[in-house]
Amino acid sequence: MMPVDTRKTDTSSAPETAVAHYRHRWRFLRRFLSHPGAVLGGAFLALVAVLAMFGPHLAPHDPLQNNLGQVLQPPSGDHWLGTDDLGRDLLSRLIVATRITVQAALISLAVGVGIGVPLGLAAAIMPPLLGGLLMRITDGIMAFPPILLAIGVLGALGPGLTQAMIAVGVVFVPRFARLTRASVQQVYHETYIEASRVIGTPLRRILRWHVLPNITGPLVVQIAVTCGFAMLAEAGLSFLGLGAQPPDASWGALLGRALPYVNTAWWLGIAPGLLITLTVLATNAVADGIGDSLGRGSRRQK
Amino acid sequence: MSASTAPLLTVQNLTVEVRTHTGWTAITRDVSFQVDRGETVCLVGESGCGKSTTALAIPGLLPEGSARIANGTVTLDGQDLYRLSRRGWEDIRGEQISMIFQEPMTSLHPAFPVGAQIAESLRRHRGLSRRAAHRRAIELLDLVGVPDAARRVHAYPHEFSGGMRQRVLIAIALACEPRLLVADEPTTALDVTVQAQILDLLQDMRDQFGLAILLVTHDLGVVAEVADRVVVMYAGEVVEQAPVRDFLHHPAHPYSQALIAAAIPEPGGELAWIPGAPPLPEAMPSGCRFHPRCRYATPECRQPPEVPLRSEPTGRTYRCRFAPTELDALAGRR
Amino acid sequence: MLALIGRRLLVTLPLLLFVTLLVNLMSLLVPGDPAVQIAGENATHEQIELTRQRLGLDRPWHERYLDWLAGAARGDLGNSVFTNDSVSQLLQERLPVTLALTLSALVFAALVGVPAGILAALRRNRWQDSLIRGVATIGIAMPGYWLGLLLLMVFAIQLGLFPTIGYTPLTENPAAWLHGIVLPTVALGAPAAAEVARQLRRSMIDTLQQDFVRTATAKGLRYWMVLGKHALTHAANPVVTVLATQMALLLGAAVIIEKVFVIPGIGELAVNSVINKDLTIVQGIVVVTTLVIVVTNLLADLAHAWLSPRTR
Repeated sequence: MMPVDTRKTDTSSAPETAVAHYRHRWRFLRRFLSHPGAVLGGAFLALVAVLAMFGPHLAPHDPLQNNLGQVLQPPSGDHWLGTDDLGRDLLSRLIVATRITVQAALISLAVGVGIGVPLGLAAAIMPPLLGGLLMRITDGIMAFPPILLAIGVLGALGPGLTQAMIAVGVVFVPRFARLTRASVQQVYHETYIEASRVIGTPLRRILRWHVLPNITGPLVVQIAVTCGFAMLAEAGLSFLGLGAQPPDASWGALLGRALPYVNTAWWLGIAPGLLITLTVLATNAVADGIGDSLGRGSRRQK
Repeated sequence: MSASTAPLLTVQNLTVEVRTHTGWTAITRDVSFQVDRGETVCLVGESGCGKSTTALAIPGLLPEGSARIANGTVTLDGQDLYRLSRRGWEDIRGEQISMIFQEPMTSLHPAFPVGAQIAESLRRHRGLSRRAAHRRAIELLDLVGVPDAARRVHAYPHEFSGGMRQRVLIAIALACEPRLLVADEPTTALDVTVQAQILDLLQDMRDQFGLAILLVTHDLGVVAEVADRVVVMYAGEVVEQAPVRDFLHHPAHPYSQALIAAAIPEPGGELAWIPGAPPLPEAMPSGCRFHPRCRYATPECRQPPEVPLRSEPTGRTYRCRFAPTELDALAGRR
Repeated sequence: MLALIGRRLLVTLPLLLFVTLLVNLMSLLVPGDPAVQIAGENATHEQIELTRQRLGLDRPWHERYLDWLAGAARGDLGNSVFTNDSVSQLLQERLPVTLALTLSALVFAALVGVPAGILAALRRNRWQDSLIRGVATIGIAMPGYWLGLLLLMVFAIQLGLFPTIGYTPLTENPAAWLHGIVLPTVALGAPAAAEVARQLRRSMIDTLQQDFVRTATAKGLRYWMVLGKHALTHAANPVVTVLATQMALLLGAAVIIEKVFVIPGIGELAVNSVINKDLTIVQGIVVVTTLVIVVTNLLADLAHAWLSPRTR
């Protein structure tokens, strides 16, 4: 007597074809573009990318040029953001520091993804007992605040941006390992993949054709989120003087250098902090946008 | 006020609207019925006909912000409930009107022992001490048939089966001996054998406490077993109201007839079914809302205005332009 | 409950051992000969040898580790390679300062984040919700030490409401300590408060739609009882997890905030030790913070067990 809804002709569980992939991509783009925050964030990140690539050509002054006659100048027509304690143009230093900041974030991301994803993949395919043990160990690392672990590693290696960011990257490993393991396990035990294994499809083919497409989405979101964390961690370490070493500077290092002059030249601390905040804000907005635009989540919300 | 003869609960012209992406849409229209003291009334209809919405509206439990009363009144013993303040409602709920729900598995708080959840009601409305409330909670658990109540009173909901949880929920609902129990499909989520036990329990409680029950159900077996009177809803409207014997044996509305035919097989025949699906709230048919699925429908049935309720001297009311005898004639003509 | 604590401790001990092992292994990473570095560039061969013996560097690595472990078990974390100060002594002086700051930031995060999260959930999609979500989004993106810098500029330097530098120990003058700790607490706690508010909003919205909340309302409980007792105990579960995670993050961030406000906690010690390559101090700091984090997680587990009996 209860009427059956005949409109349900859902094909989403069918194995995905190239056409479906193509259609998904368009839908993703359309959804992403409907998030004003994400689009704005993406535009800002594009600007940051341009600064990172062409910074030295865009800077109005030589960022390393000391000018002891013009130290700690407030913003003016010539020096839009003022000058630092050695008379260097802050705007130019900020622009040039972009590359170091972005590089630092990328290093830690590379470490996190490069170790975390294979680890998670292995843990998912391994016998459950072994995989579980592996995850327990990564859990232990996850409990660590990135900055403290980095301090521990730097204690042995000495201050320096590269080693600092590798250490930060190590803290990201568990996040990627957990995520990968969870998403792989989700698909790996689907009936159609089990069937595929039974008929003898090689593991590599299964991973390439069924598992990988399913983990890219969550992975991209996680990368975007982690990128914000990485920037904050880098800024913190450089702020402490343990990251970028003079005369190089990252945004965090510029902020740290402004600290002693908070009484006399307060403007030095505004721009670097604002830039860090806006970039992290943009990264988070893009992460949210991607997360919302990837089919599954929004379909579930209905 | 003649409190003893007036009905306990009067629902008058109740129209409930829900928020949709286009605005507010009415999902019940002009629903009116009464429940007398100690009486069991069954509210019957297909999924989505508005019976649960009506039930939730009686103790004022419609989800705030997504549903609202657009028109009508709910009166308990002469008191217009929707004129109550929030605190006024809180004094009525659990004390005068209680409600039990379809989902016993999720309706208990997972972090508190069941005894505490029963005692809470008693402490709130009866002002009992912690100790007295605890003692009464054990009695209530025993009353609703939870074995080994003195020990189980300390147990957590996840240690109970679905049927046992519904018993606990009934104990919570009856803790303060309310005058009206609204039960929204209390047995739907349970095993068939457990269903019968819960229905027996409800009837027991009715007899012990002189409780009036408004039971929402789509199961005509349940209706036949417990109801004194039946209110049939279709597409947000009451289409028939009758004493249970009249309803089961001589249903007046074509929808009621179809419901009964679909539930009780003709001797040697197949189970009948109702073609089509109930209309969506935003696309109600003109005229009689049932006409697209009605075997008796004539062209006039399609014409506005909506069909008014007709009453018979027996106390039965129904919403059809044809009397039962006329329907028989129509059927014979085909 | 006791069984749970026991189980947890059993898991915890290997983790602690693992961390100490890791921390000691790091000494092998040190480039160059540590004895040469510590004795100084111009030291004679004998001086370097003496240093090597003093530091025990002439013995095999695993012996040093076991020695260190035996000492650590008695609460002796070794001595600074440069000043020969007792690391345990140093930490005893510094850690309480950092812990007090971290805890007050955590309290701040809860005091601000919990009401904000509840309000946002109750006023979902109205202006209060948008405001809280907007502020929280910025709060999460903003480095706490930059906020600290801004607070310092406005409230300490411009308005003169708070001391700029100069830390007063709690034991010396509680009022002065509190006065001095306000800005650092806000700077440190703001991102955590934002995280708590976001999480609580999410879980509160979810909880308010649960059937048991409807049951509580149907019982006739007062509105604040339904919210404060029935909904909140359930919605608090993920918030406890957030608070535990935040405790770890706050310990890390405290190191930086301490620099902004010139607070003599482990932050300054850590930075100086890294710059001086004083590895024993760094080891001590890492091990002790691990201990703090482990205890925090244990407390969080207990809170979980209390909030949801099913996990007991």
